Amino acid sequence: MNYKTIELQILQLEESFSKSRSNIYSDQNKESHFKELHDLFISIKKSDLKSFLLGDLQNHFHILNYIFKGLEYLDNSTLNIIPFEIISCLKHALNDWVKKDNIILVTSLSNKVEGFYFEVAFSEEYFIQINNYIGALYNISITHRLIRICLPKVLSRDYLSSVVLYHELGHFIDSELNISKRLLANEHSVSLENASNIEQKFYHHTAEYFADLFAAQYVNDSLSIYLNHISNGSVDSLTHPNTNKRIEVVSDFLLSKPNDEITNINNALMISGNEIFKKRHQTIDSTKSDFKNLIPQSFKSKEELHSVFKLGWDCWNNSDTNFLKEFKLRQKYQIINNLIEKSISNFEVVQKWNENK
Amino acid sequence: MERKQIITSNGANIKPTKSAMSKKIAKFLGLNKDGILFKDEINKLISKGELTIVPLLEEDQIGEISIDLRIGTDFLAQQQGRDAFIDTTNDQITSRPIKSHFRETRRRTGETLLLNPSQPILFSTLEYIKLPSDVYGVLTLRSSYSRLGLTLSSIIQPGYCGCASIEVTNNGSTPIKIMSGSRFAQLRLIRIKRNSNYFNSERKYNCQVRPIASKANEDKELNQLKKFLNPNS
Amino acid sequence: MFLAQSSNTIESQAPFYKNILEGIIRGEKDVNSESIDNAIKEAKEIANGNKTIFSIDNDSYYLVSTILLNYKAKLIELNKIEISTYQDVLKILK
Repeated sequence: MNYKTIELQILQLEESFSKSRSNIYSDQNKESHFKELHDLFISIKKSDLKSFLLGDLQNHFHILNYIFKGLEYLDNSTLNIIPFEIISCLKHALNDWVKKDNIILVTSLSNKVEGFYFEVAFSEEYFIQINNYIGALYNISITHRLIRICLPKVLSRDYLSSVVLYHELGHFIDSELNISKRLLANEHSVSLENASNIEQKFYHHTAEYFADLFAAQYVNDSLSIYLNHISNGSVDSLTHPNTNKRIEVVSDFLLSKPNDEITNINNALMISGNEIFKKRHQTIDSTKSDFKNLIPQSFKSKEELHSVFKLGWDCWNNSDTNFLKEFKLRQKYQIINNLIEKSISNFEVVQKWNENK
Repeated sequence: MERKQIITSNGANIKPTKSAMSKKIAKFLGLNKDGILFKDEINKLISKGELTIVPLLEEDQIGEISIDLRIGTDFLAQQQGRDAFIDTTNDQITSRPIKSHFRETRRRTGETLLLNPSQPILFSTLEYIKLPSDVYGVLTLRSSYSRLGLTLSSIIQPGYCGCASIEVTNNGSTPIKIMSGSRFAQLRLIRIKRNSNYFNSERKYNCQVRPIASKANEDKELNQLKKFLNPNS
Repeated sequence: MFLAQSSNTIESQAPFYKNILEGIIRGEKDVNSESIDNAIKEAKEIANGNKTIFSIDNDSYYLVSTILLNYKAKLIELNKIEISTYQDVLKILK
């Protein structure tokens, strides 16, 4: 690597910035993040690359990649069809676990039907290191970390399947708190980079249980129901435990039954000074819910809010016999999704309205 | 209360019957069996759960004879599609859907949107409404918007469930900026003599929470009409 | 078919730490050098059994755990952090 590498990156980034300049962000944080990235870029452009040592050139390579990634995330977030209802639910869950307020959630709509994931380009540790470096060199700091939530465009208003995002948020929290990594290190005295196949399997399986349990705190067994629909009877793989095992762990959690996976993870969470997994939703009986009257469900708390997904699934699963029985299949699907969306939207609007009175 | 005498057209003096008097009092108090609903009746229906308007951010949205409704968060703006015209006569899977002539966009409550001149915009009310099966609604603009060159007039069927659909076109020559969440329309509620089951007939739209592009081309009678020209098709 | 996995595109977290270590080895200790010293000390505490892997702060988990898991034997013997220590850690990060 030499300074020409960085020069090329700078020119490519220049193109990227010229396309992004016209973006309008209604979120003040996104606006200021864009400006910070741009200020950093300008400072790098002005610096004397030829005088940099190899280490500094390598660091600048990473910093410019960081800026690229940031622009990529921000560009996608100007989409004007963001499903902010699901995002608001995820934010409530995120706030239970990450107390730092330097996170910006951006949404990206994927063309892939299975495209549900959280993408975080850089950990908090990396973020601190970048800031230390650019602070010393350019007297600049980046205030926020960007986290991208990806979901399939065709399912962006499908709230039954969006329970997957709680699972994905669980993976993000795991990587933030390094729980599965700590358990791997504790059990096998290795890091993920040096792990054998068996050790990797341990890590990945632990991570899946973590994410499933994380989701179950909020959406009860909705994820298990969805898993059953899409991957029933699967076997253990390197990356995932078999579906039945996953469902069993969640079931034990919800019934407060003893389970080694739950115990190990909760111990790890507790010893490292974090919250532990517990029920963070208030179940609503579908036979007594507002949905029965074809109106949005009202919620008294965010614990009730999270249970709207479980409520939706209960209505769907019993739609041959419950209040939806006279409707056609497509209508049932639309009614449930519409009512979930409006229930969440009403809760958020009323909360914000009353806060700002 | 003393009943006043009424002089009929042939000069006879009669006293109104007790039931006629009750009807007048009832009408005054908004308790009439049919006709426009007044504030008290509206509030009574809401408290009994027979009428739903959620979220109702301010109680004063319920006026004496109407309810203020707010702009929602989802919009469909008509745009020039690839086809030269919008085809309401064809429902083939291979033909371009009507919704391709509309661009979908969302705004958070508090964000703004421009209504361009001559561009039809569809959106839904922020409020989700469920009407009793013997009440229908008439939706009009609040006067502060109608005097800007915007027009709206639509009916909400008895028993309707969902956010009310608003179709509005800026007939002026200047774009108008509106804000999601602001009071935009007025709903008058009228009671009819008999119940109607909204879900009785197959409905194209139900429990909608966002605007849906026209489904004119899904009209079941189109095939029948086509047979007028081609009986063997 | 499985649910979509979390796509974690975490870059190698090493580059900035490597840069600090190279600076220390060249004799340019600055305020960021403290983070390396603290990480080595913490890893030593865990290696000696005085603390556990669960006590590492998230803000330095990668550095401390990498040193711990790749340098444990030497950490136990370590009395004072020397230039050679920094060189060893740099090798591990590379």
